[in-house]
Amino acid sequence: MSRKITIEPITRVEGHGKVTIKLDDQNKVSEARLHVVEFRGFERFVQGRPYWEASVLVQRLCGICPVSHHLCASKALDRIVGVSSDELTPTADKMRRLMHYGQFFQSHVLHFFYLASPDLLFGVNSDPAQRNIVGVIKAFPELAKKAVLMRKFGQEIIQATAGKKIHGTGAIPGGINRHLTVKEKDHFISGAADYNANLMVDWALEGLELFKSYHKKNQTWVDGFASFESNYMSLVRKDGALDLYHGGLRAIDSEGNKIFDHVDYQEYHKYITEEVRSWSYMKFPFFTSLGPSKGWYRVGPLARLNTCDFIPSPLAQKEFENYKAYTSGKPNGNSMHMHWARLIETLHAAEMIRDLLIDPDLYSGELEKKGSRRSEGVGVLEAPRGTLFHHYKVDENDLIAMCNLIVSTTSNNEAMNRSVKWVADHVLDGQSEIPEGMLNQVEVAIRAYDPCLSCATHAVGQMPLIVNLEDETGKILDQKVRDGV
Amino acid sequence: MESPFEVLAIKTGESILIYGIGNVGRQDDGLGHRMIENLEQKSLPKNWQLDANYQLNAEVSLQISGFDVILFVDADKSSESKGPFWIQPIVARAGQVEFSSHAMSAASVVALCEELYHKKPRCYYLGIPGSEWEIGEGLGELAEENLRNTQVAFEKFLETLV
Repeated sequence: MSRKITIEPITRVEGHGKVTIKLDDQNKVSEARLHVVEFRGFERFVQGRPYWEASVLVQRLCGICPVSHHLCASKALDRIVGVSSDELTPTADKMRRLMHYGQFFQSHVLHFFYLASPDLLFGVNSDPAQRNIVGVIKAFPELAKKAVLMRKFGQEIIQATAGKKIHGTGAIPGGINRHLTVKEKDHFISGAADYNANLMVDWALEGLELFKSYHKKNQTWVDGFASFESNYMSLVRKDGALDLYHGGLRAIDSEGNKIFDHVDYQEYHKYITEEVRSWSYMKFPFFTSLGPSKGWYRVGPLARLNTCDFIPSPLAQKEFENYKAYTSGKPNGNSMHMHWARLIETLHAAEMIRDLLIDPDLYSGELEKKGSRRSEGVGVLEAPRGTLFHHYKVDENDLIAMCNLIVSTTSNNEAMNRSVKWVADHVLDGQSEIPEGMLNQVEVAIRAYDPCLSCATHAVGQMPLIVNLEDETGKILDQKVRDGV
Repeated sequence: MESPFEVLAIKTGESILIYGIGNVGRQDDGLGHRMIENLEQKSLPKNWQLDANYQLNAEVSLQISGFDVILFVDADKSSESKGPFWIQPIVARAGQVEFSSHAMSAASVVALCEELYHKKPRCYYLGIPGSEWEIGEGLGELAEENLRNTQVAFEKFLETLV
């Protein structure tokens, strides 16, 4: 009898998605998909609101990366008030960057230490009773304490630059509304004995060493698991450097050939098309010039380190050179290497925070610029999960008439589906039983992308994780339930 | 009549953290935040602190380690809920790493606190039932009424502590 395996997790904060894997009579995989099954339409929510509210409103999309939405909307609104994001005052540009690096740092730390490390430290097939953060703490208490303080440090950088821990107001159309204070500077550089900017760099290096040590011992699995070729896209600086906050769009293919380069993101719609498929509410973007079958792409840490030419901070650059050498300079398609790339970016963010904190422009200088009002603006930045687009049109009454968002998880939709298929084909295919460890590998493959379905689907809900085994008629043959958050 | 909040068994001088959870951009999911906003207008005993965030995460374990009692306030989405609110103690429990989730359960945060900082504050969950969960600002009618009744009960309880 053919079977259908459904992994259906829902959390109230983050949205609703499920995985289905259909097996035929011989237990061969016939179909594997990541579905997104709810839609709310945040874009419609902001329509009719005054444009200057957008940068605060969009933080209510979800609580996972509100700062990325705050800054990306602000970049779009810079255009509306007639200022290009590369024309901001040095103070505004650097304060926004500091906020952005704080967000990057705490987000990447959360993902690696709390979401990914249990799988890496104990193994994807290990006992789930141990394969969790408390298991990590019992085995590696000092590492866990450092990770907590790294999160705290990043959150405090956000609070100091955005003004509030949540629903920050720091970035405004055309600039920023505050300077950093000397008291805050002293706190971050040397004020707290148990955590400060220099320690963050040291601990980011320790995290990187942890991954490299794991990689050395598990090279075959890390290099091979859910590995496949793709196109890649990210922002890069004018000189080709990694730039998480601003730049032009660069896309490359699996061989490293440029598909487009230094594209002004105001014209993103000429290069990217969003496809709708009947079985998922999450769209499937692709490069228009290549079409949907060849034009799908990946964004995020793996993509960024594939597209950029170098990293403009010394320790991260040294790690980047080793990382690039591992694939002889070719684009890296190993999905598990996203963790490696993410940790190099964590180190880069820590270096940038440390260096920005001693920049005098943060403590004085002009905050805001104004220009001639426009009716349309696009903001793009590199969020922790990948390239994020905000596009607004504003009417003559200053009200938002149109909003379009392309979030990172949406750009990775096709790649996540291919990762599920890879695990289904390589791990589940031909199996008569589906143990928990195998199902976990489906999750591991998706988790590498650090997806946030809240932004992508705009959904709410709170239920446990449900795994259903179904026959062709939809009759449930078996069911497993995990506790929800 | 005994207040349901007496289960907190607060002693004079104990430090209390009341922590709201949720997203005010998702209607009744903002119940926890609204409770905190309302309490910010009240005169609370010394050693009491208020905080709120979208969801709980690892660093909250460090924060709660510095208090004697923690009351997490959150919207309750379960259909079995009866009455305007309920309170129950939180038992430390290691939560599984959830598929695609970036949030931690209160029980996991308490477990982290015990494991990392060897502190066992008394932790409770205050659930306030809601019914509207779409994107949008403002609470639904049921949530407004439940929040109002919860506030009245909590303020009466506060008076007994003075």
